[in-house]
Amino acid sequence: MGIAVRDGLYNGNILGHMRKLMCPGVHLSGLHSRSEALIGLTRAFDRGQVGWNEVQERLKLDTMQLLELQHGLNFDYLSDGALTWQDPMRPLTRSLSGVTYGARYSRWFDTNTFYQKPIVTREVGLGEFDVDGFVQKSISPIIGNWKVSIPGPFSFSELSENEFYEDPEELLRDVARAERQVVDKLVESGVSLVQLSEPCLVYRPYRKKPFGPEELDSALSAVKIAANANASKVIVHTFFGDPGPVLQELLNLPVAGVGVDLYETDLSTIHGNTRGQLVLGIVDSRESHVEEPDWIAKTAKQVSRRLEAKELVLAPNTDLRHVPRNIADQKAQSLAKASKLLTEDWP
Amino acid sequence: MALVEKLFPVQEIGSLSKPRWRIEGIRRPLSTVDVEDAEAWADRLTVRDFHDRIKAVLKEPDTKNRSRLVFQLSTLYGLRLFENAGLDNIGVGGEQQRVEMYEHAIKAIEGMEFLGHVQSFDYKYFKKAVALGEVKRRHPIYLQEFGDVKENSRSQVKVPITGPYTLVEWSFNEFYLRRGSASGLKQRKQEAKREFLLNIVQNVIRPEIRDLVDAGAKWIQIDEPAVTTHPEPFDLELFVEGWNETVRGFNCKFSDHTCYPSEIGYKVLAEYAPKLDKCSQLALEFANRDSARLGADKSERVGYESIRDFVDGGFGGEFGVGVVHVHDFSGEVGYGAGRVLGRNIIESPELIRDRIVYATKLVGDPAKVWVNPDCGLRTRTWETSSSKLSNIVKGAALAREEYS
Repeated sequence: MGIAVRDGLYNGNILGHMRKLMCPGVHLSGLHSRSEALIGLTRAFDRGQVGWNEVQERLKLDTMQLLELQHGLNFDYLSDGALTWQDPMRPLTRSLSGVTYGARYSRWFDTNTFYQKPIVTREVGLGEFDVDGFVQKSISPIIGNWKVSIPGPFSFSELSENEFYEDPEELLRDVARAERQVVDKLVESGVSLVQLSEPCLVYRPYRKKPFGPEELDSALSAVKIAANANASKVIVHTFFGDPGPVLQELLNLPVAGVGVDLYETDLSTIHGNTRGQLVLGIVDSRESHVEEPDWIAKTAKQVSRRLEAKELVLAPNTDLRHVPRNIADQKAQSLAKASKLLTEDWP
Repeated sequence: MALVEKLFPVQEIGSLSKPRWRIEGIRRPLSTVDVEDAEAWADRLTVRDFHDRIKAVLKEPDTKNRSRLVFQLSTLYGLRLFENAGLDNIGVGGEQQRVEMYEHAIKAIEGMEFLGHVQSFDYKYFKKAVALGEVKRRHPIYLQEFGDVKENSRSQVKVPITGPYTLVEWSFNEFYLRRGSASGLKQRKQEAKREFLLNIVQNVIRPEIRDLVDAGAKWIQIDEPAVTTHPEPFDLELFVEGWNETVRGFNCKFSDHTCYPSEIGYKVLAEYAPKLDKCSQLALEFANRDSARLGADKSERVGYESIRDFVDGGFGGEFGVGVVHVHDFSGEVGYGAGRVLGRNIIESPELIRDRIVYATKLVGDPAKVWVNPDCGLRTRTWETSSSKLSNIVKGAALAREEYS
């Protein structure tokens, strides 16, 4: 934990810096699981057996419970769990002009979930924007710092079907500009932290060409465009792949923080440093085993010896929607307990 | 290795939706409304001994026995629906005796426990289980259903079973993870996955196949929708290892059904498919990614391009070509290519013909082409499924004319 100080990375108050490292924050990383009750109602709604009002009431209750859980666990930022979202792409797809959608569903990376593929049919810009489609801030009296996760410009462009742009770089740039307006509007509406989820920066499946320097540069430039004036309120989270090959470039991004998926990362080779937050995807959203707080704390300490950061954040590696709700909630509790352990460990 | 002596035989690929009386009839005695619904379809499907069968259901006081009778009746309906549509291979009548492809198999496995539902897409979910102990087959999974099918079918049948890779991929894996010794988090997950898979093959799938083959099964379709989930050498090699161990020593036809991959997923599967022992057929989904416009050239038949990868990769077996969409449809339909009814597209025989003709061009040998829906039709009504299947049969006939 002392590496950042030793190397002169951080020039401020040394004790304060060390405390931030060992009193890590805790966030959720995207879509949370729906409860069994809500799942039952949405299925019944889908079959025409119940009305939308019933679903909506349960949605509110599920969201409130999640907010209360995070509030009770002293999370630094509150996420509404995006329980209304049908997939991680949907609200952004609906907010952009020039982007439509058809019947096609594609696999969400290497999971057993699917997303409706955005289809780019003309120049992309910001379309009709409704903040309630992104975050349910008015649902609860709890006051806190709100966090919203949206797909970053590179991943959104990569995961869309491009029927309009001859040059994919132009698509990327236009998506980034449109996303900048989305980020601005979210911040204006009181959101304190926007996560740009960029799995495509690290997910390089077999036979897909490795990143060339130019492609990486374009991708990171797009992230900078999207973050722009609100860079201090933006984190870039990567998952589903080993960030190793692009890690230092990611850590150099002028944003508040960068997230990595430790379940895909080769920890034996990784190293880097950042002046911002390092978000450790340290509980596995894809496995039901609930990580022990002791183990999380120990692993976080080990990683912080290899990755120097101004501040550590403990988080799930990706959306907790991949495990049932009770397990997702237990994992959130484990993160909070681990943060407490690390704090108590501080002499 | 076609078992039907004509070009473009039509096969079902999996499940049909379950009528209300099938769902309710295993929970409680049938209501008058349920009986009326069953009777209406009995007329349409020409289930001649309906009255005797339904009387037996109504008279049966024991829930378990009544469920058996309902399963048998529903299976018979599924078989007749496929036969009446003109299919050449009718599977097991739409998997009426299975809750769902994953859950049905998992329930029969000792060491597995259901944890709850997770989202698949939109308001669709699946019940996910975890391995908490060493896995073993608790009781036969598909044998009773196969017996009922054999007794009532008038056409060729095949038995779809859920493949071992998919069972593992769709489950959590606490037991094998705890036993792992690798130091890295990723390596430990991989090691645990392999052990889980080989245990399922040995202790669950092979005993099941042995029972089915002994009971007379001639064709087993191994459903592996999850195989393209991880387009990485580790997972594809693991899939091949599991497949080859699964089929080792058995004397029957084996085929694979895979659907809804990412684009790279099919490319990678194409590379590994030739390594699958005894895999006579790949039944794949294509219509979902295709345009709904007529035409038998590349510009319209974009969804079928990946067949090239399989052929170029050296797979020499048959293809089960998905020619109709099985999910909600909200795109545009070109003139003469079909009609949209609510959330459904009913593809016209002409569109299906064009898809078959183009796929055949890519496969290179019409004798290697079977046709089918993209996947099981469980999310469509019987009305819609009947229309789609009838049109596949008509489309195959039109395609046959092109090659006569």
